[in-house]
Amino acid sequence: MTDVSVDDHLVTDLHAFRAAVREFLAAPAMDKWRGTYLDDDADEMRFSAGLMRVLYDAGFGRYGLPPAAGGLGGDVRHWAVLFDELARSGITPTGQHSLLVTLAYPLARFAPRLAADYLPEFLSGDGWWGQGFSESEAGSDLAALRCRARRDSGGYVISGHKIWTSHAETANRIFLLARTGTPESRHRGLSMILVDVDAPGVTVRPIRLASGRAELAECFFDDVRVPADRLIGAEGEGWAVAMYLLQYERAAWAWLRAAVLLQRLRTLVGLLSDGAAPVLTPTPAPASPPAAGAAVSEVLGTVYLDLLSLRARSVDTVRRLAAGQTVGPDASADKLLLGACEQSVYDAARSLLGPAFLFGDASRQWREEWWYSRTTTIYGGSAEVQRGIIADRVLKLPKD
Amino acid sequence: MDAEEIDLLAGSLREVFACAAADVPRQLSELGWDDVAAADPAAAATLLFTEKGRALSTATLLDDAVLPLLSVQLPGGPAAGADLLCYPYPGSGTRPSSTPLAATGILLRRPEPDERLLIPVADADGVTLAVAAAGEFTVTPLPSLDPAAGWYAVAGPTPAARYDGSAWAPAVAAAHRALAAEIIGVAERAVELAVEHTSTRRQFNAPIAAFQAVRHRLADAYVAIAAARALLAASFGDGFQSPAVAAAAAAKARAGRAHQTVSASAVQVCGAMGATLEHPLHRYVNAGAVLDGLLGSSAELTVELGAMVRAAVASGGEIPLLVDV
Repeated sequence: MTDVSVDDHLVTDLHAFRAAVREFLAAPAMDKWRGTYLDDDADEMRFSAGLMRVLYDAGFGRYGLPPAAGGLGGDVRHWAVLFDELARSGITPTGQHSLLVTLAYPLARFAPRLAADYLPEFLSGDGWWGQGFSESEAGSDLAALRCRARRDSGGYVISGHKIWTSHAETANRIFLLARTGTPESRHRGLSMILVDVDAPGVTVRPIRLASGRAELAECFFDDVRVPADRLIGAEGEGWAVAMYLLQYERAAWAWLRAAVLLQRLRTLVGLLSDGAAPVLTPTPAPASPPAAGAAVSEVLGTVYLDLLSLRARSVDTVRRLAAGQTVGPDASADKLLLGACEQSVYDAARSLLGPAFLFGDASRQWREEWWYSRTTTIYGGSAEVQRGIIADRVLKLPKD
Repeated sequence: MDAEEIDLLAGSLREVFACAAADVPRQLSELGWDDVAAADPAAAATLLFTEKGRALSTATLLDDAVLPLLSVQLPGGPAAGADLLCYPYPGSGTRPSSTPLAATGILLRRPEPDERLLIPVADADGVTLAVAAAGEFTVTPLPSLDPAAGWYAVAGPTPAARYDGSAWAPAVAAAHRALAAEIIGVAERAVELAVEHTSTRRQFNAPIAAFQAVRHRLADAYVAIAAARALLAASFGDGFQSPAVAAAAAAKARAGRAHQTVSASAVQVCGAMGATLEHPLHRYVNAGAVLDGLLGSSAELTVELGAMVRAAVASGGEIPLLVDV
């Protein structure tokens, strides 16, 4: 582990942490990470591993987790501040960060020894892990999953299939939700297991998406042997681990996305005011008439309000998690607001950039991210599932 | 203020708002509301106006909340203040509708001729304030989508004497937060009515709330209110990076939008019954809509916020995040 002088002040004082991060990120040495975009996901993950290393060595990429888990102390709010400051300085939080803020906390909570052994590699960019939950026949109905973990001498033997696993092509481990109970046991018979991708019998096949990227993959497990000490939580406790994990997805990861979306909104507004949008016309666009100006402001104002309310909502959820409280079914509202916000930003880009969105190499990233935004109301519990949770458990509507 | 305290106070406020509008200020005073507000101004204002919205009370508490912020600017201090605020006539956003020549606006109740109106004026170099007796103006009932609102239109010459209006923006911010809370209260009640109706109304041998199309519309209505409520809470917060003025405008804009979402869903799922005078839903649909029109509608404020974002980026500044962890 890299030697870093632990500054307790930054653990307890978020303002001081923010100021220190801001100063660090402003350095010219960080310029190579600003505004980068690689259209190949594997290339991007390997590139951003370098940023993880830089942040780790500086210490700022280690706050938010306890020393026992490879961190320097603090709580989930430290990540929120780091993501804000990265985005503010023009550096997009990494794919590793997305995975880390959802996986690290359940690991530290349910498998402290594994956290101590393996989180340092994640924090430092030496490795990153996929989240192996969904299956072809178990998407929205996650408790129907069939990937099996059979007890064998000294461990488990995994056989089955996972799909839509983010960044699995380059990940070195998978947070796998597998069935240890009977096929009918639904959510009661599930266990979470940390599986090495290089273990014999694991095959990963990237899925090419409509966006042109391949950030998702399917994973095949053909009698993969895993030691028993790779269990996260007790056997049969997998659903509880997954639900604990989802709280962090609803809070810390939502915060990360909001920071990225604000960065993209800023870029979009800059493009519009530079008159850089009409890439197809060699001459500058005529000054927009006042009516068009108000129409543009209305679209941007709507996006801005979506972002503000997402953050206002998320700040409460993040603080509750930081205070050790659990987040209930109400967090489905956060998830719905995030999906709406993602689509609001990219729909605004599409409508305001017009032809410059559809055509030309300069807007490749907008087009790709627009496609990504279509999936934000599908993955991680579809918008329909979230609405169902609110109808059932918050509004308590009758079912029949 | 903890959840238990809020519940307790909400119960007391419901009794207060069950009284005639004119009695509400006295009842609040008897309840000791000033002490509650002094102890936790943000929670008190949110609770008071949310309950006012839920009750569809026409008490002129907004005047009581805003006038003290403006009257201190007049010579002689609060004693020289006014009895009613003349709100900008809808359509001018947060800017006064009165010009140096002509005063126009809205009153939340009918004034006595000798009661004094505080009139914000859009002057050449900013907002100024004028004060004059209501008798000097033409005051007529204002027809609106909400016949129960009881608002009046004011028109007449702008008084020559004008005073410092630098408190207008913070006063508007306070009004925006109060109106956001009130609109949220109205919308909350509309969702409750829709939940009640759809849980009891049966078709195809099931309560219609059992059908996914209905459940999802109500869930979206809930989320819209939750978003507005979170933004309102944040708009009082100390974590703000930008002027509270923008945050308050954002809260009101989001509350107005939530009310539109709620109205559309509630009216649809309550079926024909919800479109009758017999069912109370229409009162909530109307009340929230006219409140949204006060001091800048959701649409107007959204344009203003969008323009602010554009100006911030054009000047090389940051887009205000408004809320921090």
